[in-house]
Amino acid sequence: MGKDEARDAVGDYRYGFHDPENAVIRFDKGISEQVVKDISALKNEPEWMTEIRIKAYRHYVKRPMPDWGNMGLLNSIDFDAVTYFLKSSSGTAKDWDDVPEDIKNTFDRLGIPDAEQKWLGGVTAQYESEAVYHSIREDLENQGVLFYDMDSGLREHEDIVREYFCSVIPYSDNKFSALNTAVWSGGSFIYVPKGVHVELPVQAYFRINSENMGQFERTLIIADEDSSIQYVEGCTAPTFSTDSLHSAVVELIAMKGATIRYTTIQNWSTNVYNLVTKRGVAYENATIEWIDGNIGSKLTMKYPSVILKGEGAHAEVISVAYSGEGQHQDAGSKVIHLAANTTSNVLSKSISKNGGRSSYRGLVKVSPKAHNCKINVVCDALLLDEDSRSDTYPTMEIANSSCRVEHEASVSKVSGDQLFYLMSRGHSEAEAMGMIINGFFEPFTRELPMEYAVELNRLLEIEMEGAIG
Amino acid sequence: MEKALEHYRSLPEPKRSEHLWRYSAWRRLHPTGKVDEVPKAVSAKVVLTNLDGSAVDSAIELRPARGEERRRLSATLAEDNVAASFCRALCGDESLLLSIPNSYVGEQPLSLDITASGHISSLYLLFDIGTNAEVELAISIRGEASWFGLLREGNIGENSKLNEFVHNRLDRTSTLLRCEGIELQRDARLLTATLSSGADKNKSDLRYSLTGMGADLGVFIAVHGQGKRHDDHHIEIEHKVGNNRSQVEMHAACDDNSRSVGTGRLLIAESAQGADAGQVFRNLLLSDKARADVIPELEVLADDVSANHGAASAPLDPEQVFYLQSRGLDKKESRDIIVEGFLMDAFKDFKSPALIDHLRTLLLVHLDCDLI
Repeated sequence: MGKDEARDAVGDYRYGFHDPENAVIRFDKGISEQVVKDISALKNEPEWMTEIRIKAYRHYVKRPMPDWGNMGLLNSIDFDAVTYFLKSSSGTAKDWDDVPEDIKNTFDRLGIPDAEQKWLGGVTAQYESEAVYHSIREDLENQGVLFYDMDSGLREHEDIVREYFCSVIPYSDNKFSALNTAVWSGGSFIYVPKGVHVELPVQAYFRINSENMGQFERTLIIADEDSSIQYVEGCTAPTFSTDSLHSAVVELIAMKGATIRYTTIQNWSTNVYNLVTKRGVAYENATIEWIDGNIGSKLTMKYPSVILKGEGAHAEVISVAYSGEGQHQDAGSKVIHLAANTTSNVLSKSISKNGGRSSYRGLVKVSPKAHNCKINVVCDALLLDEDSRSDTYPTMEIANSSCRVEHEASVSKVSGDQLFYLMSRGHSEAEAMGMIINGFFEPFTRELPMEYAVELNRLLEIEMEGAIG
Repeated sequence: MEKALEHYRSLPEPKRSEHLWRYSAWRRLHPTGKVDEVPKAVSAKVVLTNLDGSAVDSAIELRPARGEERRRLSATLAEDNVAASFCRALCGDESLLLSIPNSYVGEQPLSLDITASGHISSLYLLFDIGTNAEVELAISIRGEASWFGLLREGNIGENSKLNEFVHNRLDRTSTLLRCEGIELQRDARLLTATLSSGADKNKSDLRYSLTGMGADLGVFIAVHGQGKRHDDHHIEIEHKVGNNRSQVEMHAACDDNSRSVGTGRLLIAESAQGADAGQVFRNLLLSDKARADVIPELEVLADDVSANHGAASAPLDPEQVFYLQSRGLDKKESRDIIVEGFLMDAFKDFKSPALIDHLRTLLLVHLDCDLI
């Protein structure tokens, strides 16, 4: 695909448009205990959930901001300027025709209904604070797969939600998990029964449309014994001159022999703070895979984690990050080996351009009882100009003598030899650079559903324009 | 003295969220545990000879440092470095300068014997190596002091070469705090090897600044952990200008309840195009209760660089043990020979035959291998 065609197809940031805001309910800016209670009352939640929200809010107020990472950007967040709840639709539709016209237009432009027909097992579309559309294939429903937006999940299956909510990420985990627990709204709830394999991926699409909006979705996925599911999430927002905040919490529970693959393509506009806590627990012989792509946002701080709790459990984290002008992608992964014969692979790739900054921050922890575990961590970073920056902060804490840990990281620029080779075969310098970049990200894109991989390659092609000279 | 004391007290206690202090809290390393306190310390005894025991060349000086020399040679360690600031306050006005003149080429290695005795002991050692000099130095840190603080700062002049070997053989009951800040000028080369086997609690904060083009730095560290030994090495290298090279190789063999910590920080400034930097941390875990923690950090602001790091932890390979046993060695001998090989491997790029022989002998004596 040529440059012009690619630009026509994608635009500079093609999700940067915004539609007029038609809020059904909009809270005043700022957060207080009353805001938290009001959100809970509005959703008519059970008492225990209101109590957790209040406890989480109190913890959020007490907890200081993290004293590591990009403190300059973190401390510039004005929490009082954020709208913590905004409802744009009176309910969650099961049919596109029932979705309000303006919201439907937004998702049509994002290509969601099209994708659903072609290759998805189910879809949740979240606009601002709540899901506006939700559907699941009938055959999956018949097999007992529960796929709801989180608010409906709490209403319909309170017992399951109550058992697992905050069980992997307690509200006291960090300041942003406390904030999310206090004001969460929307997100996905999935339960896959024993032995059921959901072959087609299910998707959630998160869209922030308003200025100074805070989106705090909460996702809980439980894969029962010997089941499997692949979940894909995409995120976009309009480009405003003021900043928005996205602070999600995602909890995954993979029971004995289950597999969960969680794929994210984060393409927020560059005025969004993306401060997300994602963690999974894998029991005996279970597998959790985080496939994590970070292209957009102003500041991302996201470290998908896996706690390998059962013998033979496996974790796989593949993440890529692209940092352009004014962006800081502080991403990484954490794997905690608590049981014997557990294994993990972490592959992280990042590209920094036009003064962007990419950081890998990772943790590998092996507990004294985790015998014979094997860990492999690889981080590669490319710097495309002298204004950009790449950091690597890996931590390895090994308390068992029988485990094998390997870690390697490298930072370099695009090799002149590779460029020369491709140009000697007739490619322009820009095309050659594009091919090298796509090849650099290939271990990530090959794990994506095809449509996402094509989309990502297009996005990168556009982002990489002008990378030469 | 008062100024140094005031400065130390003005610094906040470092937080555990800083990687430098994550595994060895300053409060626990401090000689009294009361971080505001700067107790009285006895100066360590320092003897400079040639490695064979003969007197050193008269051109080489070891004498008290003057104020101007202290100011000139102490530029590498930042003002807010708590450990260095504490050592300065502890040493007061006392400091020693080892001065090597321009164009001096040593025929045999020098030996600097540091003996720390008394309850709390300290030493502020500066060194100044002129231009075009070549010198080899073996430093031995020993003694029974229950706490020893060593602050070492210096400069390696243009086109000079220093190969040094530091052996930490303090009494096992001791605590060692070692802070170093060394600056390398244009085309200077420093190869520094450390064998850390003494002091049950050791915190070494080693910082190097490559301020001249063509500077070449190699840091090689072998750690042997036994008993409850806690050995924490932080190696920070800053490439300030381009076309220079640095290499870190740290090998830790951890036995019994010991714990080794290796944190590396590699900073490549925006102006340091053409830098080539690498860090490797390897751990050999010899017992169920041994621990090894590694944080090798990279911060790269220039694009035309090669920067990489690697880390690996693994147990003793049973096939290697079996191979050696099949050649007639018993299990302990096999294990010792593998540990010796693993630790010596940290020095494979330490290009100083005289010092390598010396450190191999010391390592074998330490391991009590009966293989000399």
